[in-house]
Amino acid sequence: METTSQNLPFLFAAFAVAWIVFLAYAGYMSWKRHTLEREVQELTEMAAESALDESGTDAGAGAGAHPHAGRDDE
Amino acid sequence: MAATNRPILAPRTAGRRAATGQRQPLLAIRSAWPWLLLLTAGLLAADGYLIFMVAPTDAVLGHIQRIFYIHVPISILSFLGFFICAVAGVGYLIRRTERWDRLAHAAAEVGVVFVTLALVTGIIWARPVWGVWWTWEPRLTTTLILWLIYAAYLMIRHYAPTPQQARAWSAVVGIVGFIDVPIVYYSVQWWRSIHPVQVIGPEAADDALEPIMARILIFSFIAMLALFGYLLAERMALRAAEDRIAGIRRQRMDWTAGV
Repeated sequence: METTSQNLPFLFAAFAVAWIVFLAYAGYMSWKRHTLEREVQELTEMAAESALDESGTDAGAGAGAHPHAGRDDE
Repeated sequence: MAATNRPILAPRTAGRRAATGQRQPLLAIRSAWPWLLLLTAGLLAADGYLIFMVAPTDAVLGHIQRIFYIHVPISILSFLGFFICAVAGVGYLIRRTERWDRLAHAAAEVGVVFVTLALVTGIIWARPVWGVWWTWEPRLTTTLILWLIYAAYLMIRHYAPTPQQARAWSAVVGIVGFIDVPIVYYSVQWWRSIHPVQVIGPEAADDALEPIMARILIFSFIAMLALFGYLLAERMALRAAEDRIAGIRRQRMDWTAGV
């Protein structure tokens, strides 16, 4: 077995690998989730606008009410 | 609630709901995440201090023995991940609900990350202590098999022809694959092994560790458990977002096709 001082690079390597992998994994998941949530928001808005267009907005039935106004769902 | 001009995430009317899909809360404990993250970071920082500043240097192995304070908790928590995966797999096969599948998938992926790091930290420890990076001894071999089983689980999820088949097939692999976990744990007893014997669990001797070392190991385990919980919650939320995107896209395609 190698001496204690010779072992230090191995000790450093083990901890460095563990923390780099954990940080990279957590960071990747967080970034990906935020990207997807932004995409959900955009798609939902597009779908809501399409649904409003298709229903013809009832010739101004909701005049003055912006489809995005007054929402604080999430 | 005060009116704002903030864009909506989910519409309220039935027509819009049909167009965009049902709202799905990403995760009930999401509001607690910043606290969980802070708690985890604090525990891990304290753990680092204990490992490098408080824990005594091993008389035989020297400083390299400190790897054991992360290697053992990481290994045990990979078992926990696969246990959750197996239980959630059973839950999915019985109930066929998205929630069980989401839990099983998240636990398997986090478990694979943990078992990968268990292997890597073990390999790094083995080089100076055993003189080789790898040897085909029972504990290492059965752990590698465990890694391969759950890597296959993740590949099935990715490559199965349909999402339904991916869920069902992977649930079966997750349940059957868990059989390897007790084999890994008991491998040092059942076969001739050069791997150190258990220091934690039912087969561990009472005096396997010095009391100070045992206390620091327990603290490391708690810190790693917090990290495991955070990663599991984050992965489940990511899966929920992926499912939601897929649902919206599917509905938009149906809508465009006039279904």
